[in-house]
Amino acid sequence: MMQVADQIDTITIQITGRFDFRVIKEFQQLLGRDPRTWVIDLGGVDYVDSSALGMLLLLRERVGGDSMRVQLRGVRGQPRDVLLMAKFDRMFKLD
Amino acid sequence: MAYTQRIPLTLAQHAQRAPGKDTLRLLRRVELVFRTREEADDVADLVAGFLPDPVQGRFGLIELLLNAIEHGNLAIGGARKAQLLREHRFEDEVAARFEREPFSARRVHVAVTVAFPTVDIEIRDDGDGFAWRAAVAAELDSADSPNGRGIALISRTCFPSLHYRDPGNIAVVRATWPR
Repeated sequence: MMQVADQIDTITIQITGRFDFRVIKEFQQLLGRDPRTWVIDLGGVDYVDSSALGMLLLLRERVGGDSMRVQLRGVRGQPRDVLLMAKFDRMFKLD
Repeated sequence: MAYTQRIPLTLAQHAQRAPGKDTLRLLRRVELVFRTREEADDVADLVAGFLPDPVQGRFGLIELLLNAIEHGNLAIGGARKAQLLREHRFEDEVAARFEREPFSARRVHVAVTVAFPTVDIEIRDDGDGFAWRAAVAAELDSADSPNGRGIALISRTCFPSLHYRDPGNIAVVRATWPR
């Protein structure tokens, strides 16, 4: 499940449960926006698959590879293991 | 689509539903045949319960099952998928191919063979196979593409035994329970 908070320069996407292939379409619809900063709150996520990694990389492309414009928050458990294994800590700001 | 309405179990709920060693000692073989990604989700939930680490195992299984559908049965290659994802047309393409011959008649076949403490899983699709050795050896830190790292990721985490039978339409993994 995804909740979106649209502030002045920041869009916060809060995801709960599984961040996987089921949310591709919903996530991609948000990529049409162009805030200064994206915050992806994964504090409520207990599972990611490689589709989620793909969504995050599309977002990274969207901001021209500027890692300061995308923050991944609350990453723990299986999602943290997967993101670190995929070396996303080199490409994103992980809080 | 239907699967967006499904409320998946949490990982903790899955762990509670897993059959456990006593049941696995009685189990010999399970076969499943399915077509859609919604069904793949259910199959991954079920088969993960046969593995010693159902959380890691589920991650690996869903990658293999979705690959079998998207790349195998629906014949959407890696580069094509990347293009479709960037153009936000991937979901529509998947839906269209499911309705079209020859893709609509294709199935994924999963066989789980248990000789406790060993669990062998074979996942066969009806597609033409793919260059699986390159997929297994792919670099994980490439940011060039939004897809194409799933196979490499799971071969280095949950399924180190992962290999394919040529031409690449049969994935084989083995998991072993601690005694």
